Amino acid sequence: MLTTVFKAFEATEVQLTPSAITRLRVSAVLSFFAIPIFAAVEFLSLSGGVKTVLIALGIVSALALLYCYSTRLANRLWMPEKYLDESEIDRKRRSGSITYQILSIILMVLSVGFIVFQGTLAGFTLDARAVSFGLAILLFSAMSLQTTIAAYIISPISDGPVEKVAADGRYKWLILGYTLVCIGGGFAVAHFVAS
Amino acid sequence: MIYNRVKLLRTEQGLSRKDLADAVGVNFQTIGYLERGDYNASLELAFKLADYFELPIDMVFSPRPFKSMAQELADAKRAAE
Repeated sequence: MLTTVFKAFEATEVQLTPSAITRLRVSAVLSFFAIPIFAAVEFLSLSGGVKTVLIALGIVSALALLYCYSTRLANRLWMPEKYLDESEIDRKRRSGSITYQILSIILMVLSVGFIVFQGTLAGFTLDARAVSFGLAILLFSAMSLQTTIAAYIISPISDGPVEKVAADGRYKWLILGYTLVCIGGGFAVAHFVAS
Repeated sequence: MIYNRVKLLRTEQGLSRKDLADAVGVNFQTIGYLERGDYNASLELAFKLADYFELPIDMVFSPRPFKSMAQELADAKRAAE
């Protein structure tokens, strides 16, 4: 049964047009900032204006995260390998391997930082909120990092009909509409939340 | 890097990437990346493709760049003489 479900969500020509891949890349990069921005809003004492802008940016980033993880190409990254095609397995492993390397470096630098500045850090107390935000940032960074790397590994496959689809102006209006909805909605909600 | 003639053989037979992909049981993107040299086929897929085109595997895949058709024809003509 799962094979039928996963087969139904296979990547098609539509997901591999230059515009679709650009949208995936942009949303993957934007999705990095949602949790750190909401953490900053939660923990830093900010003035009303800055807070509004940050919440708006956070919402835009959260919408980008939602879009990114609803795309077929991003979903192929977490599927069991037996349901994937061999080029998809290759992409999944390559992006996973690069993510692991980058995360190892980041964690190594953080560990060294903690050791060097342990005297200063000893004065701070950690509460459950800070720990949960820290873990959420780490988890989402790892997910977004692998998705972003996979989005940059993948390249459009241009064939006659695919180029025709990619050159179709409808996609420009879709991107513009989506961006305007994200920004407008983000500002409206941010204004409501901040006031 | 493994070179291949998949694109040449596919277009020669008037097939789309999707047709060929369906025939050998992979997704069309695997054929696309294979043709562009972005991906090296598994041994299983290499054999399936060679079988599909009814050619020896070394006529479809090679560790060295393939000669152009014009060059191959000229070589064959010279050998025949």
